Amino acid sequence: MSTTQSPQTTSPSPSDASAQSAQAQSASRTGAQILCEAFIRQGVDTIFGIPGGAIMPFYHALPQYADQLHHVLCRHEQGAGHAAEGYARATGRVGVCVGTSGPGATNLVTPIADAWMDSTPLVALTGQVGSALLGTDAFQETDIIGITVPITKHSYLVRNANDIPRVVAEAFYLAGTGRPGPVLIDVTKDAQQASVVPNWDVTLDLEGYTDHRVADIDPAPVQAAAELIAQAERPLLLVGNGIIQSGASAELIAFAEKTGIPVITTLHGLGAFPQDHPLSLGMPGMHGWVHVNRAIQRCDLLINIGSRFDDRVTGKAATFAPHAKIVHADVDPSEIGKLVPVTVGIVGDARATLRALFDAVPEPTGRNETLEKWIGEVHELRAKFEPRQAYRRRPDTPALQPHDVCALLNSARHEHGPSRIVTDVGQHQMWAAQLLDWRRPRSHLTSGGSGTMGFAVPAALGAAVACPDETIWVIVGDGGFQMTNQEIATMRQEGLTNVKIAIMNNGYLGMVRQWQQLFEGKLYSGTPLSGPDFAKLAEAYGVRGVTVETFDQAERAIDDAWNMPGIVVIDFRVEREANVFPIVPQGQSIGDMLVDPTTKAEHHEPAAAGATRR
Amino acid sequence: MSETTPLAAPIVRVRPAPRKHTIVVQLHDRPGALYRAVGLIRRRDWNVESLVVGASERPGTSRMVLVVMAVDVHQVLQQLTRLVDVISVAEIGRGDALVRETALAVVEVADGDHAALEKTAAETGARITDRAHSRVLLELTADPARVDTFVQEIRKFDLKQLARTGPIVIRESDPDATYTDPHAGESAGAHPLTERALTPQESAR
Repeated sequence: MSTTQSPQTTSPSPSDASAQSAQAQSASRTGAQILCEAFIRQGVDTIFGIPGGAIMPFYHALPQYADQLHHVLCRHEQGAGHAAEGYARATGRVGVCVGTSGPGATNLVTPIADAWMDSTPLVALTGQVGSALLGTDAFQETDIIGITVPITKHSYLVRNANDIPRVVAEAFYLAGTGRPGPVLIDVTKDAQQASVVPNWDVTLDLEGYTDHRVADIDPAPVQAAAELIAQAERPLLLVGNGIIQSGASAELIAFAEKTGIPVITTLHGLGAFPQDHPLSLGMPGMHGWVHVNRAIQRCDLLINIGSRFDDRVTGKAATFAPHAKIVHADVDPSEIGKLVPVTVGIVGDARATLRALFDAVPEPTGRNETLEKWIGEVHELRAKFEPRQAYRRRPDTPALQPHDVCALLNSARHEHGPSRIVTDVGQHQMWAAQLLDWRRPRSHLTSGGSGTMGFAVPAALGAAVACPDETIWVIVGDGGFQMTNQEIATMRQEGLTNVKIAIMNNGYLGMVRQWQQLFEGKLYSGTPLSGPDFAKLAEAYGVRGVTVETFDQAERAIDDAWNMPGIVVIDFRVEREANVFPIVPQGQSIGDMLVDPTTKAEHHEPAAAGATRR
Repeated sequence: MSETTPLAAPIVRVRPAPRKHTIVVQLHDRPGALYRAVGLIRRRDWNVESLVVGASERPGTSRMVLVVMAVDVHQVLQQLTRLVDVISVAEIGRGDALVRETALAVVEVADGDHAALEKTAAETGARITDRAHSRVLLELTADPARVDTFVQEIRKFDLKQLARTGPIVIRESDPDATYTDPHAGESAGAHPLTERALTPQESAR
């Protein structure tokens, strides 16, 4: 910091200011200060973390930068990591979380793994014991780099404060470019304490790294894809997170409309293509709609842009899309051909790919009767199978249906201002994915690849900090809520008022229970779950808590939540053994779905005992 | 829906059997780089048959030669390429590179009768490096097939110690070409997943 400011000057002239700035540039400072300044230079305004011994020098420096770098004190490092993910997923910027060495670092492992699986740009900063103690089993020493190697894009152990400007610049570049992902910076305590003059004129030393987002799209596979499109009679677009990450929704809509090809959106693609668009078909896979999976099994061309053929999408990969030629476009070349052999692979950014494809396909000339016939087929299936409806109240049961809660949330959402929905993992996640209309990119935040229970509440914290003018709805099960609800205390400390939490409380770890019911003879092993009175727990946190047991109460509670400022926790006591249908049993073909036996009349299919195989 | 619409013949993907792969990786000589690269192998629970890492022609970089039994090596090569510290990745096919391995053996020879051992050494190309009392040290640098023969023959003696380096590899041209698949064209496609027609049973499903 500058210590030689002229005493006469109360408001420095521009030249004084630049002189000061030059002085500040050359003054020495601690590694911890350099870390803060390096973050600010990367455009970071918010970090989520918890202090501890080995990261104390960093926390000592933080207050000096408080006006530029806001620290959100979380209640558990897992919460800090998921909050940083929520921030990143809501904004597209790199999220930052901080923890100390040892347990602080290991508590970050789950969110780092989550960010890795969902390609979320994340920088995790951890303190490490002094360099002289490395490898000696010092107090709170953990080899966090060793632990996180398989789940990070890259990692740095910083033992010299002079390396900090380059390491931070590289870490943010790596986290946010190409296929985004988590990068770990582990800084020894002595490197944080050392005083050096930082050299900000750094060169990124990343010879082995290619940012495929900015590379030109190879025209040859694009041309080949265009030829396949011209020949196809039953084409489909399958899109995922890549569309959202590259901001390619407008290009996707333009391409789909030009070609007339219907669009399937994966869990992480929800919102990439507006679901009220006539070409939108919905979600595929284990809990996708029957008509979507049937369409995949019948299509002759599947164009996958920015999704990775996850096994929850493909079911048994060997029988996935058995009649289809496959075009796969991905920013990560190692994804192409990983699980499903492709006829054409395109490496690159989704937006650039869609633009190139748009230019490569001819303008439509008149009606395409073949395509119309195909879309007609899919819509026939849709009318037959899609169980989406505004309300699913069953006259024979007084219990509140989780489907009703989703439907109510959905209709209320379209009446109010901008909102985002954060879901956790399990049954409620699938109900929300199925029953809400997703129309906007980054409006659906969830833990997909890693399936991390406990994600939702802290991720909502991060999204609420990132989007103060929007309402952040959390949909969470009673199991996941009990894993990380302490971050409500963080929300309170931050003075946040824009979070509404809907607990789908069925007293079970519901998705596991559902599998036990359907596939394991109803042996409910380890799934019945008690909990506290969530409304009282909410009040203990100083936020509003509501218990809801009927449809009418649900309607009113959701309405109140929208209209009254402040955080609210709504404990929806839903039917305990409600299931997510349709479902593809794990490892089976997606053409082989079980649908809800209780709604068989809606499907005009013959009755059968138990779940019906189609 | 109209079930009458004719569909093209279904395609089923099958995985071939594992085979030996020799992978050459040039990577930055930095802490953790080797760990990351090998971690991709470990993650798949493949056994590393051999791993040799040493200096390359370029200061600050190493060349790593890895031999594994695997099916889907294509994917691991792609993921190796993705590592920040990795500069290039190539798979070496039969006959397109100079491959050398060194073996060292210590053999106990009873009664000082070295004739049989000397004959084996001569036939396999090994060199007798040291004779201390009744123990003989042998050394061979050759292509791995010849080293295999040497090891097989030397086991007929009273073998006390054996050490092999695993192969190192060099190609005269294009040493650091990015990933190439030496098995391309061997089956239906370059990809390790090949395609075949459905069996009648599968069609019936």
